[in-house]
Amino acid sequence: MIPGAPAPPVLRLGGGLTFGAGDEIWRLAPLALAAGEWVVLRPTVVPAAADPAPPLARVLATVAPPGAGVVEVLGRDPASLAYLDLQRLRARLGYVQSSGGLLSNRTIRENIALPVEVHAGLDRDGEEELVAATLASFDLEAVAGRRPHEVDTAAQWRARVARALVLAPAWIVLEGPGNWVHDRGRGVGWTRLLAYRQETAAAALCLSRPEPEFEAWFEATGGRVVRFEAASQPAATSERRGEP
Amino acid sequence: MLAGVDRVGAAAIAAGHYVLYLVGFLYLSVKMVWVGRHQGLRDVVRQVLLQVYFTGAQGIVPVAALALVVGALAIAEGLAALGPLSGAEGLGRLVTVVVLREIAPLLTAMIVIVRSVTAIAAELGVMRVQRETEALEAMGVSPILHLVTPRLLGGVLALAGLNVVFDVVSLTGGTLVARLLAPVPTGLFLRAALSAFAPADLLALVVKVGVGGIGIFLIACYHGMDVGSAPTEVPVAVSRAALRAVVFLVTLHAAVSLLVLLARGPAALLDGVL
Repeated sequence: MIPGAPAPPVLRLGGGLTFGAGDEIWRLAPLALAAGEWVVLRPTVVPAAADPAPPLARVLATVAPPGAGVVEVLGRDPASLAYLDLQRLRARLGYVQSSGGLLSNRTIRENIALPVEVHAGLDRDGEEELVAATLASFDLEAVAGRRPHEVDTAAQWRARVARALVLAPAWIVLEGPGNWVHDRGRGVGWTRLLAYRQETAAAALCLSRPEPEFEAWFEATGGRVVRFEAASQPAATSERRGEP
Repeated sequence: MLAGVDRVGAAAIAAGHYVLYLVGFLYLSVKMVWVGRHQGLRDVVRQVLLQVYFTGAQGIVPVAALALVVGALAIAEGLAALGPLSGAEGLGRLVTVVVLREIAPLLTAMIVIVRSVTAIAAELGVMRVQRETEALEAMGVSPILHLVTPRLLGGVLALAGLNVVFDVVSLTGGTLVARLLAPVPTGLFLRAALSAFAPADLLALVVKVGVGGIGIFLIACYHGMDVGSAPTEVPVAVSRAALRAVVFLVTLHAAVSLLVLLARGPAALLDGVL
């Protein structure tokens, strides 16, 4: 980077970004996310066939390539990175899936400890301290020794958020956070997310269905809502359906 | 006629692709140990030990029970067919040839397929459906290094251990039956059994257990990781993994045994056994 040049956006989506597969292909308008900016990205309508959030989340989390267009994270194109550089970049991402995602053969504590062990570069005591503090701040101590299927869905969501924040990520992708409307504001998960937003310059993209109540609350907390056309694109096949 | 040739050709190409995928998958699993050596190897070792426990420690009882029965039956049948005059040496060699060389590695691996190959394919398949592997990737944690490599390594180690258990228990069972049914000196019986085990047999056993183990666990992991997003794909993956593991194992064992016999020459086919 040139000294004195402005920092690149945390996330830049451009070049006619498309995602999805088969008949369900969506297109996103260019979007740049600056440090500290929290955005709800939601479709104008949700097509009956599929929810665009998971395929978009996979693209934003760099685990799937876009159909077309560019995804740049912290000024770098993930597709051009060597394996270890890509892993280091991903370690700076906090990815919260709407469901599943926690490793079912490990306890909640082990789920949170895994990224710490792989990426934090701490000694064992340091790792244990960090994991214990994270469990405590997310009110997960009582269920730390249980496996994901042994705890309720709210605790699972808190565990997903805890695991996403444990390495102090630079950008966060939240899938379907509006599902946790009952947990919003008052609940531990969203409280910790809002505190993290206050304390750091991390950017976040929340992928949501159209949920006016959630969006109003999100905008009231200083966030931005961006709508995108969700009408299933192309689809050469769907166009053909109308032919005589 | 041509349609038949087409089908055979297509099946051969598909089989070739399948083998290439498996070889690529194995290469990736081994390579990740080096590439990811600073990425949580402690967790990898823990997962290897867990796999040894699930496949090896938890499999000891069924393997030992089967080995006892097989060892005893081999001697009982040998005595019935050949009579007590066959002596300790003949019976000892019978146990080695029939049980230790052929039945032990095959039956042990079959038990492991039933218990662990199916379990691994199902577990990894469910992890794919529940987007757990995707979460790992997004965290910068390699699913190959933390899920596949430990299952491969732990599985092969456990299979080797179970083979030793099978051999020891079947020999013990054989010895007991030999002592019960005929006046066979135990020392002579055991010496005969062990002396019939040539270096070529040991090499064949290592290939059967090592290559066989890598093959069946690789097939399990491959089919588990090949599951997409539908839960209905999991049972399909499990049944494919089990069937292909059995086919691979039987083919490998037959090929290795045939090679050993051919290497020994035609005489061994006639007088090598008794």
